[in-house]
Amino acid sequence: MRKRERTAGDQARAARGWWRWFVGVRVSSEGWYYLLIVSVVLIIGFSRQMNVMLILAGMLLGPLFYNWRSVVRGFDGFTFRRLVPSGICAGDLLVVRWEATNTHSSRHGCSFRIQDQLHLVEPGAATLAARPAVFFLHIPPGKSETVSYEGRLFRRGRYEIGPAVISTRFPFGLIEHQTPIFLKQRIVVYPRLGRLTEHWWARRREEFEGAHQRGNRETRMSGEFFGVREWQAGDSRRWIHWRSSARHGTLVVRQFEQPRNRDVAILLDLGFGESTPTEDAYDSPIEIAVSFAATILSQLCREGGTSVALGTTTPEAVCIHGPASTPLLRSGMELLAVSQPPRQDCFGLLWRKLTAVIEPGTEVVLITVRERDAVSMLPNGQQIPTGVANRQLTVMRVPSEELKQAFCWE
Amino acid sequence: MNVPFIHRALQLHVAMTASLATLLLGMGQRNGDLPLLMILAATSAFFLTDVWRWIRLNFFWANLIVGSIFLVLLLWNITQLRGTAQVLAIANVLAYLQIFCLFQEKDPRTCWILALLGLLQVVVAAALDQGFWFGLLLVAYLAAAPSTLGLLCVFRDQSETSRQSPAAAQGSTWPNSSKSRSQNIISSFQSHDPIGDQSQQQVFRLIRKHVGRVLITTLVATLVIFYLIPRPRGAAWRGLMTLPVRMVGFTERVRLGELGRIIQSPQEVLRIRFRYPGTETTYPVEGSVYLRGVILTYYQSGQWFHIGSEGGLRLQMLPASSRPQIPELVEQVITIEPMDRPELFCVWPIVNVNREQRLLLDTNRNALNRPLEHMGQRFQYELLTPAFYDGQQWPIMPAAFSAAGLPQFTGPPKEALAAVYPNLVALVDQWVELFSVSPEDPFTLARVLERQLRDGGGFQYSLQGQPRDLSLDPIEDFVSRNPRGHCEYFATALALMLRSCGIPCRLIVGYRTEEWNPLGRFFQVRQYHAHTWVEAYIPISKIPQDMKVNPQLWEGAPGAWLRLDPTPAADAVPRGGGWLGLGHWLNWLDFVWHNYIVEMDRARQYDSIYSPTAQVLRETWERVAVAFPPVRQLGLRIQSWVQYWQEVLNRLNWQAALLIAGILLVAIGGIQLLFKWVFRLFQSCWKRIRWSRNATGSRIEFYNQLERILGRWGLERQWGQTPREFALQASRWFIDRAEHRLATWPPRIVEIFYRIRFGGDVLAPEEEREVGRALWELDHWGQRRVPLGAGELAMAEESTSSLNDDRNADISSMRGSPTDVNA
Repeated sequence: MRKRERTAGDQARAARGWWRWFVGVRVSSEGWYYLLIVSVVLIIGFSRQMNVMLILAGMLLGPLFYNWRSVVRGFDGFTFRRLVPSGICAGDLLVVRWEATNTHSSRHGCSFRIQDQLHLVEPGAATLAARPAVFFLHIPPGKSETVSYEGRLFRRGRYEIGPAVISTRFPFGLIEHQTPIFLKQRIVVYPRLGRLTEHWWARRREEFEGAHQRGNRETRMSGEFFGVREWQAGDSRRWIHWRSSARHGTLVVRQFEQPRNRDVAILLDLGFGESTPTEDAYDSPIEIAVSFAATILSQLCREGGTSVALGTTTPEAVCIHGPASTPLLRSGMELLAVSQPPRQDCFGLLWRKLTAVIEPGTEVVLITVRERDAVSMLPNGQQIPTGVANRQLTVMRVPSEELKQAFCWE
Repeated sequence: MNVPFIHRALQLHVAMTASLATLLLGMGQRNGDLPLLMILAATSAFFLTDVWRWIRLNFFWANLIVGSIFLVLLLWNITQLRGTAQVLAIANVLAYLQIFCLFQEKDPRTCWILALLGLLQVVVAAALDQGFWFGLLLVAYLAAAPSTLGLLCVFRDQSETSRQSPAAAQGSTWPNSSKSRSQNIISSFQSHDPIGDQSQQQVFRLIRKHVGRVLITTLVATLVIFYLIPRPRGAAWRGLMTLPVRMVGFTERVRLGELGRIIQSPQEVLRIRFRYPGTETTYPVEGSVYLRGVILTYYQSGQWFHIGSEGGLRLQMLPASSRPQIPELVEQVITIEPMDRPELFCVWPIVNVNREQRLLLDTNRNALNRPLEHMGQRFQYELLTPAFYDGQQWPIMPAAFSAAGLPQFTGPPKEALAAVYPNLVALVDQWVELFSVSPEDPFTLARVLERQLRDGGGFQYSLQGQPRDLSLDPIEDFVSRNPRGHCEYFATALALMLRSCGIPCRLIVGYRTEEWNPLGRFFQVRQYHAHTWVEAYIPISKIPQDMKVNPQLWEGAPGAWLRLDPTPAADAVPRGGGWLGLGHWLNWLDFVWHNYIVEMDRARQYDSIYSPTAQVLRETWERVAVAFPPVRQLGLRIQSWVQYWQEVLNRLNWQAALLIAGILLVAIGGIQLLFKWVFRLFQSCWKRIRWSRNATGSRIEFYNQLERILGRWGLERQWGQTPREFALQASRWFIDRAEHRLATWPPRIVEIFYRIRFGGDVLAPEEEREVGRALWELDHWGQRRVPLGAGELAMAEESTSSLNDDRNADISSMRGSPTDVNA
C-alpha cells in the first residue's frame, strides 16, 4: 500500500502537540454574539430549570463545537503554493496565482481564504502594503484548484509578497482558524516602458550613420531565422510562431539574425542628493529618465546584433555590458528598477567604469537630469575617452523638448 | 441579474429561518397574526427584494428609522409594561425589525442581523411555550439555522475577498500624477476568479451534510447530557404562557349512554404526597388512593348531578382550624397542574390547619375549589386527613350528618325504581336471595352487591362506547342487554341497586391512583386515573366493630360513608402508549415530550433514568457475581467503598461537590499531560537510539552518492550552502547544457532527502526506484559529455531559462515553489 504523502501540515501538527487545537483558533465576531446568546440561554435554563432552554442551549452549542473541530482540522492534508512572475514592468498587470492541493481521497475542502500582502522593500522607501486576498470555495478530493488576484504596481523597485495568512471558518462561520504561510517571494518591477518616436530614430540616423545604413523596424524580418523567444510587450503579432506557442502554452515569437549594428552605451545620470522615492510623482524627471533608458535598452536588446552597456547609480555606480540579449535586458531592467540618485555625486566614477568597458566607436547616450552641459559634468582632468567624440555622444536632458520629441509614454 | 447560487440559497434560507423563528414566537404567544405577517413579509421580500429587486430599503435610513422606532417602543415597554408582557413586546419588536431587514439588500451584515434576530425570538419563545409541537418546530428551526449560518459563512468569505476596487485591473490606467506616490504606488488588487454554479451547489450539499451530521450528533449528545446532569431541587419550568390543561377524565356531571371512546390521556393532573403532620417523613401508603372531586346525588335518565348545581356555586373560604387531637392524622400535600376546572382533589375527610393557603369550599357540592386566579398555574395545597389507618385508605369514614331519609341520597322508593329499572331490581333481588343477605345488614349487602358487580363475571369493563337501546335507561340496558361499560356504569348500577335496597348512597367523581413514584415519594395522578365510585351511608349501629378504627373519630357520628368501588380493578387503569394510528403516536410523543423533556425534574430524573439504569446494572452485576465468586468479593469491597464515599458526599453541599469534581478534572488533566510528556520523552529517546544505530544514515546514503557524482563534474557543495541551494545550482548547470531531464533530478533527490532526514519519513519502494534511476542517469551522463570548467559554470548562471522545456520554465521563470501552509 502506498504511504500517504506527508504534508507539512501533518508535520506541524505532530510537532505542536495537543495545544494545536487552540493555536490560531479564535472566535469570530459573529461567534461572540452567538456565544453570548448561548451563555444567556444556558444560565437561564439552569437557574430556572427551563428544560427547553437547556435543550436549546445544547443544540446551539453543537454547531459551535463542530465548527471548532472542523476548522482545527481544516488545513490538514492541504498544500498551498504561490506562483509569482519574477518581474513585470511598472503599470503592467501583475497576476499572482495561488494553487491549493487537496491530498485527501474523500474529504472536500471548502471556503479557504488567503490574505496575502505585498510591499515595497526598497531601502529608503516607506513600506506601502496592499493586502490582496483570494478565496477557494471548493477543492475536491485529490484535486488542485488555482485562484489568482491581480493588480498593478506603478512604482518600479523590488517588492516582497508574503507572508500570507490562510483562514477558514467553514462550515458555520463561528470559529475561525488562521495559520500564517511563511512564504516570502520577491518580484522586481521594472521601469515603465515607453515608445521611441520616429524623431529619435531619425536623429540617430542623421547623427551617426546616415539614413541609408540603418534599417527601420520593418527590416527586422529580413534576417535569417535562428530561434524563438518569449513574447514581450511591443513585439509584432506577425512574429508569433503559433506552432511553438501552442506547444509551450505561451506566446513565442521568432528571432532573426540581424546585421551587426553600432555598439551603444547608455549612461543614466540621476543627479545626486536626498530624494525619497515615495515622494516623487510618476512623471518626475528621474522616472522619465529611467523609463527612457529602459525603453532604449529594451529596444536595443530586442533588435540584437549589437553590444550594449548600461551605467547607472543604484545608488552606487554600477555598469553592465554585453551583447544585446534577453539576459542582458533582464539584468539591465533589474538595475534600472532600483536606480536611485546617489547621495554624493559619483558621475565621474560612473563615467570611468563605463568608458573602461566600451569599445571605441561606441555610441554613448547620456541621459541626465542635471541642467549643466554633459561635458562640464566630468570631473577635473577627465577626458572623453578615445573614440567617444562629441559627435558620438548624445546628451538627452530630462526634462527637455528634445526628449519630448524623442520619447513618449503610450 | 445572475445571482450566484450560494447567494440565492442564502436569501431563501434567511426568509425561511425568519419565518420559522416568528412561528415559534407566535406559538409561544398563542398568537397567529405575527407568524402570518412574517411569512407574508418573508415571501414577498424574497421575490420583490431578492429575486426581482424591485424594492430595496436603504441600509442606513431603514436602520435609522427602525432603530428610532425600536428605542421608542423599548422606552414604552419599560415604562408601561411589566413582566411577561414586557418580554413579549420586546420579542414582537424584534419580529418587526426582522421584517424591515428582510426588505434590504441581503449582504452578509443584513443576513447576520436577520439570523441573530431570529435566534433571539426563538430564545424568547422557548421561555413561553413548552408544548410538543413547539419542540418539533424547534428541531426544524435548529436544522435550518445552521444551514443559514453555513451559507452565510461562505457568502461572507466570498464577498470579503472580492470587496476590492472594481476598477483595479481594468486597463492600464496610470494614477493621477498630482497625487502623492504613497496613494498610488499600488493599485487595488482584486480576485475575480469565477466560481461555477456546480462548485457552489457542491458546497451547498456539503453544508447540508455538515448540518445533518451536527444535528444528529448534537441532538444525541444534548439529550445524553441533559439526562445525566443532576437536577437541582424544585420543579421544572413549564413556560410563561402555559395554558390550563383541559380535564378530559373528570366531569362535574356524569352522562351515560354516550358513544365514542373514552379519552385516555397520560397527562399529569396532580401529585400527592402523604407525610406525618409537621414532618418531612413520608407516610407509607399501600393500595389505591381515592381522591374525591365532586359528589353527585341525583340520577335521572342517564345523568348524574348534584342538587343545587343548576343554581351555581356556593363558595366560601375553607376555614382553618387548629390541629385536632386524632392519633393517626396524615398530611396530604397536593400539587395540581394548571387546569381548566377549579375543582381540587384530595382524600376526604379533610382538616385545614394552614391559615395561609386560600382554598374555596363549595358548600353546595361539598367540594374544594381553587381561586380562579390560580387556575392557570401550578397550585399546591396541604390538608390533614384521618382517612388512613395502618397504611391504607380506610374504606369507611364517619359521616358528619345522617343521610338516612334524605331524599337526595335515598332516591325514589323501590317500586318506582322497579318501574324504570325492572331488570336491575330483579337482579338485586336475585343476588340477595342467592347470598342470603339480610336487608337489615346494609354493610354486608352493600359489599355483596359491590363484589358481584366487580367480580361476579357478568359485567365487563370497556372504554369503548356501547350501543344502547334508546328506549331504555342506559343503566337498565347495561344490566339487561349489554353488560359492558366503564366505571360510571358500574358505579351508577351499584348506586341504583343500593337505593333499591333502601341504602342511601352517593356517586363520587374523582381520581383513583396507584402510580407510586419511589424517588419523589408521591402518588402521580394522570388524566386516565379519573374514576367514579360509590359511597353508601351505613348507620352507626350497622357498622362492624372492627371497622371502627380510631375510636375518637367515631364519637357522636350518626353513621358512616362506606366506599364501594364496583369497577373491575384489573382494567381500571388503561394501558399507556397508543401504537395504533397517528393520533396515538402523537399522544405518545406528546407524553414523552412532557414527561421526559419539559418536566424532567430531579424526581423524574431519578425515576426515569437513574433508577432503571441502576436496576439494570444491579441485575447484571448479580448475574456476574453468581458466575464468578472472586468478582463478587471484589464487588463487595467496591460497594463498601462506594457507600463510604456516598456518606461522605451526602454530608457535602453542592459547592463542595463541585470543587471536588474540579480537582478531579484537574488531576485527570495533569495525569494525561504527564503521560503525554513521558510518551514524548520515550519517543524522542527512541528516535535518538534509532539515529545512533545509523538507521537514518543508511537511509540517506543516496544523497551522499548524489554529492559524489556531482563532485565529479566540479559541482561541490560550498560551505554554508544548503542541499536545496546546491541542488538548484546543479539544476541550472544541467539546464545550461540543455540536459533538462537531468536538471530535474537534483532538486527531486534533495526533496526526498529532506523528507527522510528531517521529516522522519521512509523511502517508499517506488521512490527508491526513482532515486536509483536518477543516480544512474547522473552517473552515466559523464560517459557522453565532457565536463566543463568552472568558468563556464559562472556564465551558465547568467543564462535564462529555455522555452523549449516546460519543466525548465517552471523552475527558472517561476520563483514560486511548493510550500506547505504550516512549513
